[in-house]
Amino acid sequence: MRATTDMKLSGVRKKNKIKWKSYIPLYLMALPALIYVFINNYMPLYGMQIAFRELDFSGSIFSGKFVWFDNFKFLFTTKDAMIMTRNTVLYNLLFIVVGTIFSVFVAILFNEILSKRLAKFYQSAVLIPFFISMVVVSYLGFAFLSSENGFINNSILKPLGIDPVSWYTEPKYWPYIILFVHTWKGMGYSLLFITVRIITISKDYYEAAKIDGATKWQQIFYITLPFLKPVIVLMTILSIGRIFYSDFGLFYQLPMSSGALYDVTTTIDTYSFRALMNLGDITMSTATGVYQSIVGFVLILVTNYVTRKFSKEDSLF
Amino acid sequence: MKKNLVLVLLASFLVVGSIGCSNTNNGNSSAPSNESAVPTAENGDAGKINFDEEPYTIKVNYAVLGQEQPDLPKIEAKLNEITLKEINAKIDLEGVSLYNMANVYALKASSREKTDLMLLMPGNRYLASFANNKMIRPIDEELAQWGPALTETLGDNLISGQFNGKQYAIPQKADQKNTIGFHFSKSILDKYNIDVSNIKSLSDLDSVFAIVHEKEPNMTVLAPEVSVGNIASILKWNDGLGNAYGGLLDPNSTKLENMYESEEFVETIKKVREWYQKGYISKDVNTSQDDGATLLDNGKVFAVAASSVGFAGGSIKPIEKQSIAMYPPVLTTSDTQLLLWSVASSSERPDKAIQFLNLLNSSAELTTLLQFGIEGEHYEVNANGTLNVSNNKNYESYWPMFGDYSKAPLSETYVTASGLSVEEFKLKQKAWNDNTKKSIAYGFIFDPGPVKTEIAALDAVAAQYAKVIGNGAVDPTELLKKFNDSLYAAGLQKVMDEKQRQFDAWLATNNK
Amino acid sequence: MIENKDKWWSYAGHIVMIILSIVAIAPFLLLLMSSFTDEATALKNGYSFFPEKFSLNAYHYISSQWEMIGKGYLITIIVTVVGTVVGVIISAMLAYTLSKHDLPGRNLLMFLLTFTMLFNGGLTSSYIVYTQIFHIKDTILGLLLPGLLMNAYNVVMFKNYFEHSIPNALLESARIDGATELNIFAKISMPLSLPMFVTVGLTTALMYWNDWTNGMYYLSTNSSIQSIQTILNNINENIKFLQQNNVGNMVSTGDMPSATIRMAIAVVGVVPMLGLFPIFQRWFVKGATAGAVKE
Repeated sequence: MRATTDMKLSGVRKKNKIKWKSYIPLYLMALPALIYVFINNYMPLYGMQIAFRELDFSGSIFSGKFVWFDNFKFLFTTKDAMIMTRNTVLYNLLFIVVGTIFSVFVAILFNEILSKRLAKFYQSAVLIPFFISMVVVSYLGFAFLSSENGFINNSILKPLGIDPVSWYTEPKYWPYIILFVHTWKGMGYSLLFITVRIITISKDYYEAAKIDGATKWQQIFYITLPFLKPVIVLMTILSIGRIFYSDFGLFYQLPMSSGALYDVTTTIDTYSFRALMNLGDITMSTATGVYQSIVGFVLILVTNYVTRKFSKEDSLF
Repeated sequence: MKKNLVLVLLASFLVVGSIGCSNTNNGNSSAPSNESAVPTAENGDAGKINFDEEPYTIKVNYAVLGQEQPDLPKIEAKLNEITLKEINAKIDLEGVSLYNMANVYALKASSREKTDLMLLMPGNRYLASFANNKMIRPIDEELAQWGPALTETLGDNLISGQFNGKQYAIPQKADQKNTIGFHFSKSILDKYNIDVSNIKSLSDLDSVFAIVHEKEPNMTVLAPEVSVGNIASILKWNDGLGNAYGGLLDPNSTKLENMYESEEFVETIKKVREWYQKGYISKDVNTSQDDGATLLDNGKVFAVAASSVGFAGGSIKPIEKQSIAMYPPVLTTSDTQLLLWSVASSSERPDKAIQFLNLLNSSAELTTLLQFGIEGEHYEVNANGTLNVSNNKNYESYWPMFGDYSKAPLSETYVTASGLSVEEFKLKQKAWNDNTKKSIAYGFIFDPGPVKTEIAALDAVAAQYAKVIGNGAVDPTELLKKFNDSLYAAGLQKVMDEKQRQFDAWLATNNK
Repeated sequence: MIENKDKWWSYAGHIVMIILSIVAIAPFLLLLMSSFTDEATALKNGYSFFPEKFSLNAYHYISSQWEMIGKGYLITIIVTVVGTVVGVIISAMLAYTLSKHDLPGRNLLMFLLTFTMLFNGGLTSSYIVYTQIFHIKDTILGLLLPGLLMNAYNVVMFKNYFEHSIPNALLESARIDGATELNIFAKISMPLSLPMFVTVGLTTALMYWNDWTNGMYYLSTNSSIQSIQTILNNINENIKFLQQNNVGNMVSTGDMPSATIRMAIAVVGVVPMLGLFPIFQRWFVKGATAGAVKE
């Protein structure tokens, strides 16, 4: 199928090469968004320089003395530097791998459901967590996990005769809890997102496969998954670019900022927040952002380069 | 492709750069006006307000809870009548949401929005850094010229608005200094006939807690007053001189020590640990988002370790409470720094700003107007001189931000909550204030600038350990060592040395 | 005719989805119940599915501020609708342009777009740009423009969808018939990718609906166009700040139902969005049947 599209494309390409003018409407259509991106994203980039300057409000904020990397130092002075980098990267990798497998698995099964009415209900139901803010999730989490009144300790472990667990002081459970909540919160949206792709796959392919005697597994492996590949690759590239970022609510509010859990919950964002909470220094917080951006940028370039090598049409640029 | 990218980036830099430049120009043009704004040099009429010029509008940023009060325009109109007459200026009040104050001020300063007076609250958190960042300006000259009432009413307290030897802010006079101790639920005390008035040490409380724990098994015996605090840190007196890293453990000492290593602190956490193990403290103490104070009012908690023990010895609202002090009241710099008025460095007329503060501190009328609103509309005057504000919906001010409250009348609700009569209230308050000592370091403010990086790292470390240890949730012996090791690894010694150096220099110049 | 095997797959789908639905709905029920719990009960026993004592106090407190909240809803609805419609359309148009493989400069544009996903100048310089150059402070644009209108992520997702799920032949034949690009976009690409529009629209709408930061920074405290989330967040944050900072004990937070009000606030904030979802879903399904075209 792809081969035929490509052939058509190259045929079209030759014809259009002469017609430069025909692109003008396309550029015009892109213009509103590009103007917005310029204003919203590019113009403020000028301000990134304050990460390298002393904070000085006496004149323009962009005229403080250059201190180069002084504002970055606080990120690297403690032993936490290692821990927070490890946590940020590992959790993100975990989210990419588990999240992708889980959401593809659920979406495929979801699309096998024959009752459309129930399917609609499920779809709405699993989207609910997507609407609840992380702060509220943290309160709900506390209702489940609190030592004294927690639902899990009182209504599940106690009747089973298991000793209550002090959830907020036991780091070993938290990687699972964080992964669970992350998946729980995002499942409705990823289901929607992948379903969008699955429903556009023409039924003809499946019909033809059935006639050829293909099993359901074969249909999934040879039709559905190849169709989903581009979007999965794309989402992975984009996630890798954000591997130094973390959902602040998930790592700060959900564990109730419990000190006993820091070894498994500190990420670059939460560390920076805790360190700057009292100082409120905008040059240092900008420095954190610059550090995350540059690492993310390098990673996305590398991933994109690798993707280009293996499958050109799936790369970003 | 890359060349094009560079072009786009360059273009964006140029556009924004031009704003940056125009800002610099603003900055420069306002800088000379700072000097010219002081008219003394020209006419020599010190302290005489010029009524010939166009009235200047003073932009005043003060603290609000999210939104301004609906009747603020009425108050402003009334206020302007007075200020036009007295100091030839108009006041434009703009509320700043309390929880977001640092951000809002930083944004205003970086975009050079018009601001003259800024209320800093809690001021001890912001004064040093704002002064370092030059967001606020020194006001010594203006104060000398335009602030006779300020010097008079505030007296010694003015020193808490100083930083590095210069006056950067005008404090609000503290009506009283609270101290550390406990609040107990009165109904429980009465029920079991417990007398807490003779409690002298933490160990004295063992038997009290034991009784309540036994008789009221569903009640939490002890909690920290605020959920972000921890019991041991609340109960150990310490003047941190600006932050928790190295402080004076005694109001007369001049040697900085690491509180977390001190014998007294270790004793305190051992006691708290013992209480925790006996089940007096909730297992959720480190993660609960509900304050001990709230839990006490709702009957869940019997006692809270508090830093808000005042002269009234308790209160009757919303439930009846009895309080005991575990340490005599000692005034530290940060106490009078709670509310600080400072002048923005971008202000065109710092002289007018100080004139307004001076007027505020000399006029009970203005204080009453800004605090309680307009008589007949927002409050009524009671026979005993207090103000009845119970019918007021459209204007209230939450904190004593506006001038000298010892001149203004008291709010009825404030007095009745203490369970005292007005006379008793005033007498007790005065006795308490006369009894309040000043820390030897009163007036000293640490400049964190040179060790900013270390403090950021230390804040991160403290956030990890302080609460866990201070609430007794874990065995402290081992963890405390780990905590202190981490503090030193994050630069505690460097911060303490720097603080001690600054403090010694301050002591020397102040002849202490 | 449905084969037996298909039925088994359908059953498996039901089982998985029922489990996930329970996991998703249970916490929401807890949220709902908590908001109706008596304050003292909530403090004593924590939040629970079956509270000992019910109370409407939290909602009473909120409704005492109804004048403000009702207006806040109105502002939020206006901002959400305008922002979502404009945002989705301009993102899709850019994506449509970018999905044309032979567009000169396409790679550069893609690069510039991706770049914005990673680098940002930070709040301070955005604020300077928006307030000093475009003067949107205290206007409704202050709620609409900064940060939310569109993002590279949505554009990339649109582009990817256009490339892989809309048959190129369809577009080419329209071009040969002399249709303008805008026409092709509006008449062919848009209807065929309705589910994608719904998906992106939903996230954009949710972002607008939940946003309180723009209101916090780009509106003064005396502004009359506070959005609902800014108001709710103010109530919440101020209660928290007062508790944490112990600022002189001059305000008693005792009469505010803090433990239950934060739940009621969440309910008030989320319910209208939940109510809207079935409408989104109808479009989604409609688009889905139209989208399954044969190549």
